[in-house]
Amino acid sequence: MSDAKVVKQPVQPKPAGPPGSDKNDSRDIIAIEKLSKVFEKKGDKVRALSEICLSIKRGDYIALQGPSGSGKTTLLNILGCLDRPTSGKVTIEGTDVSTMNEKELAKLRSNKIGFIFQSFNLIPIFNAIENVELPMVNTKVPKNERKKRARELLNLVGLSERVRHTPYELSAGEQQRVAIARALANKPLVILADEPTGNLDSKTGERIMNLLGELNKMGTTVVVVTHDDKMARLTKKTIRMEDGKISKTTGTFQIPICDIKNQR
Amino acid sequence: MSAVIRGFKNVLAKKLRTTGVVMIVGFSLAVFLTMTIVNANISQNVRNVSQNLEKTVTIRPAGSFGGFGSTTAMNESVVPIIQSAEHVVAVQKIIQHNLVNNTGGDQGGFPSGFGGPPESGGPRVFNSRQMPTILEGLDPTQELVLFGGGTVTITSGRTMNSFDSQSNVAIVGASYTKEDGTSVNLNDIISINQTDVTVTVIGIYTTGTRFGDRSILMPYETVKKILNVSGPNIIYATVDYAGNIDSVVSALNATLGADYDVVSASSQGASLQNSITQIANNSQIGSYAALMTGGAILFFIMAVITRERIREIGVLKAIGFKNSKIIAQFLTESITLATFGFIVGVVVALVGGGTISEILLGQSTTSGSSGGFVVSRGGESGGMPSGGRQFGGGFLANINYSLTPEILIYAFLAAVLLGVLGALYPIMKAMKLKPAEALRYE
Repeated sequence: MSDAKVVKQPVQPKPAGPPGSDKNDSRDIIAIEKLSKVFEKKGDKVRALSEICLSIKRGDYIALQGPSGSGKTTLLNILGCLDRPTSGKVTIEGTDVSTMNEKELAKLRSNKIGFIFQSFNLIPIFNAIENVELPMVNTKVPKNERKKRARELLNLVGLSERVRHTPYELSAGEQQRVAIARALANKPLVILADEPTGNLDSKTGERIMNLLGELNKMGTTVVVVTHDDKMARLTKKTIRMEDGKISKTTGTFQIPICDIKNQR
Repeated sequence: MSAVIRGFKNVLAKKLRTTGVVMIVGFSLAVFLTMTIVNANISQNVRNVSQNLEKTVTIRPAGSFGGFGSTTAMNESVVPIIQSAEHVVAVQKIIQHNLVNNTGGDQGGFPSGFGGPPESGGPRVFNSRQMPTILEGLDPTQELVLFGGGTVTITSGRTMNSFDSQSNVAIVGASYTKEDGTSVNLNDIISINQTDVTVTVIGIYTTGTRFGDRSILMPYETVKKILNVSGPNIIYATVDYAGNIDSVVSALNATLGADYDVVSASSQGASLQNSITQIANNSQIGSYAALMTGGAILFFIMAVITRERIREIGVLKAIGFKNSKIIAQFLTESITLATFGFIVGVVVALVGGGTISEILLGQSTTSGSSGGFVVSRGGESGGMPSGGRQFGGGFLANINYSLTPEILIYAFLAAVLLGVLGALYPIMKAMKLKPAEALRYE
């Protein structure tokens, strides 16, 4: 992979494009500007992110790398509206999410973001198809269509024979594939995956990364947090983080001006 | 797949946990229901006693109130005088005599010496021991009034009828035989010690209480013969309307003179009512305590359940569930558990209500702390409560363990309340977490 090709360009929120996977649309879907996050625990302040600027374009397949505590998961959580920044601005499809209330954020997560977790986080009492259906309950997709789409997604991830199996009856790789299908349920703008291969053996992990690559080729934007260089090499771009800052990038990024000094 | 269905699924998915919770909550609700039933029944009994007492005037030989019965017989000629008093609708003459500790000398008109060894080969001789045994002479045509209180239920044989008025027959309380080891059966011929009069047992009765079952009931005339007395030692007069009670008492006092004590039962029974009301209050407190215990258990269980599923809450938030939907799911779970508990509670209360109330109230009453039971037990030490009609024991025995729609509605609302309160605090606490915090939660 080559080093980042830095293009100076201020953050300019652009009109929101259609959700999902328009391969020809290269507008920013997520842009962050001077993003900082400070955690306070028992009076101690820990700076997890320090004035980060970044833009993610439709169709990106990005690996977020870095040592433990470098701020990758915190960044991913803020990108996915699971956490709020201490300062800075996050825009998703041109909309500033910093000012949104919990209800609006929940709706945004439901419609535009798909999550994949290291420990799969499937709901144990539901079978595969019910787990995939779950996000569609929020978006009020009619029951028949919900079932149909869930079945299609499970078929897409190669689990058409396992639709009635509960998480306990599935292997780790299969559970992660169910989680990927669930993340795709509402045709999200972006899939955010936090160490999706962390609990898998290398072969299964590679399969999962390839599956995410396939989804990306189909037009889905994917951001993956990973420790594993081998897995990171399967993505199009990488961002390396250290001490809450972006220390290095590979691939082509349109880095906002504010963060140039951090990139060099 | 609504929040309600998800809640149901969660409850049904964890059978062991659900069974445990339902049993605990169910038992708490059973205690609540039982205590509520007991309370309702006792309250009704209090009302009944009040009504009875308010319309009853007791006439005894002067100076006999405060002790057991009287050792002096009244002249039977006072009966028609009382009967003729204005507002008096019924008169009942009774002889009540305690067979315990009667080893002393002659006590006025009533003989002593009812204790003694059984006679070999002859009729069974009643030998009263530690517990008091009350010999009662009653008019067979009237209501059987027991010293120990309660309603007479014949368990074998028959009751006394009008044709038994002059017969040597008896109905014996069930607990006499149990307590004293004396086997008294139907058709046995018994005698009261040191008398030649033999009596045939025509029935065994129970009131459901030990003390209420300590009497030997015979026709009034038979007891007169046995005790060789000329008249009753208690006369009850029933007035037509409770509001006339004071005027009847005044009139009878004036008519009968200083040789008789005429007292309205309502004044004498006030302390009894207070005691019974105290039991009712205790049962009410018991029911609330049971409910609070159930609520506390459900609260802690829901707190644990919620805590162990905070990551799940985080996942639900991450995929876009609103707080309200997550709260609805957990509330459904909790209310479902409480509702199952309610069903179990109803069954347990119906099947084991008697046992529960006996355990919870029976022991406390025998410990003599409070209540009408103390009043009835007072007879054991020689204290006969005045105006004694249908009081003393029997308040638990007479309870009908049936659930009225009103009680069921109360209990169901209580169950739902438990469910809501049990879940609300833990889930609201969990809701305050940001999705990222919930997902990190260990």
